[in-house]
Amino acid sequence: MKTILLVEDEEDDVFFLQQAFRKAGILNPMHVASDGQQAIDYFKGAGKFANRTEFPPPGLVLLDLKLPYVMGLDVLKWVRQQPELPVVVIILSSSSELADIKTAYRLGANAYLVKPPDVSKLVEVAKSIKDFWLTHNVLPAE
Amino acid sequence: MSLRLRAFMGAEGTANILIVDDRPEQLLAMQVVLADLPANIVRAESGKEALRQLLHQEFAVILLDVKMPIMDGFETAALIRQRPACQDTPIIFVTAYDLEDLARSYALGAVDYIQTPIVPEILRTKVGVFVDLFTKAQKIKQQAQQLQEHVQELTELNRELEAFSYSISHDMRAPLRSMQGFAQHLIDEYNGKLDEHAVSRLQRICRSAIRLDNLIQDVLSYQKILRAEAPKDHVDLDRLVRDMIQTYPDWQPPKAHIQIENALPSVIGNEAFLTQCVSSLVGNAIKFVPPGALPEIKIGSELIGSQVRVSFQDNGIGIAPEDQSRIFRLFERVSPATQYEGTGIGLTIVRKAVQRMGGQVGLQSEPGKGSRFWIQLEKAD
Repeated sequence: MKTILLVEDEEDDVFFLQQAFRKAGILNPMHVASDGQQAIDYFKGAGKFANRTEFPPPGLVLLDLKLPYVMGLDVLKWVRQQPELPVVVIILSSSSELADIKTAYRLGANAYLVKPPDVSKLVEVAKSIKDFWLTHNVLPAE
Repeated sequence: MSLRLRAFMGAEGTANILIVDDRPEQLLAMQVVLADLPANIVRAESGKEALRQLLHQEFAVILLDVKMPIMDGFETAALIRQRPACQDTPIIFVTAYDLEDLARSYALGAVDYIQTPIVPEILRTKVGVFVDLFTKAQKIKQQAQQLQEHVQELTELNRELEAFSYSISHDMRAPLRSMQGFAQHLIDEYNGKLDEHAVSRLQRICRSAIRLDNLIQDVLSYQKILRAEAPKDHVDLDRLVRDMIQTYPDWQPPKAHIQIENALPSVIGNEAFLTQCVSSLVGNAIKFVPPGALPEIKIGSELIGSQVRVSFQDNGIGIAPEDQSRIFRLFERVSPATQYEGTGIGLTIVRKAVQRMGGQVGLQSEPGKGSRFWIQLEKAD
């Protein structure tokens, strides 16, 4: 079962996303990186993520854009520069700015989702991620 | 103030006059006559020397003796004119009256001539005019420079404003999402453990958070309509409206009944702006109905000259005549907030968007008999 990495600095949003994933019936293990540097550490298996059994490489990343230390788009850029990382990266941001959306796709995001203003709608978002990215989508490494 | 401008102002009031003559006594005579003018006088005893002076500074006017050895006044003038920086510098020839010479001097771009022997009054007056002209031109340049700086400041301010609203959309909305989310979480997860008062209060928190979020969104939309680029193009209004009805569940039965009377014509406008207008107008028509009534909206169009008037007829509560003029103003609401939710920005956005597309908006309405809002835009071919 694919591991999900949630890169999100807002504790509240982490809580709501975890709730929504649970309600959507997503049982995949989920880990949280609370800033951009932690996300890169996770990919490298460095620092507190050194234990690969506990923190296996993720198959799906939910990436916020506004993050401390390393911004989301820079994390995305870094991930796409690593040839051995065929991972689905879904941007999940409150920004619906055209510039952000364009840059995200240019840097290799697989999808761009805007955080719904109404948190209860997150369950729908989670369900669609489950159906498409966790069920039907196939990656080259598999 | 920029360095460039300050340097420029230092030179203000010191217009330069270049006098060119091979006879020192003639130069001295002219210098004495022109001494009263608010200008620096620069002397040159040959055409070559004159050209050298022109390399260093700008002159309000050049007084050029025609009869000089080696390089005469005409040759000098021709060389001066070849230099791009001196193409418009006024040249006054100093010469004995000779019709042929005169014709040649004007052909070389002289603006005037002064006859020898020199009459001091005439020389001073003529040169004075050019010094004055030069000073005024400098002043205009300086004002243009200031204007340019203002434009830069405004552009900068605009950019800051943009960054500000960008940060609003991120930073202000996140805590609101938390408020609404946690209240909703308590309602959902502690079902049965909370009494009805607690649930109702949590619902109020949710509603307030959503209302504030709507307000932020509307302010941002309004700001976008005010400042965004709005290139005008051919817009297929019929497709746009039908697509929107398909997209919004609230615009479909059983929640609302929207009917397009005839295929709507295409207009000249901006698609994003028009989407915003239709969204606000239909949104209002659905919102402002008597309690329990099914919103019924008829969208129609009529040709008025070269323009199309698209109207949105509803079966809503209507608007009293005394309120009709103020509903397009920012934050004006004519119905109590407790009864109908709204931010008071929607119609302001519509009016501004239509204005920016070069059109008009209006309404006919009577309390209890519904409203008919219209927007009028240029018809596309």
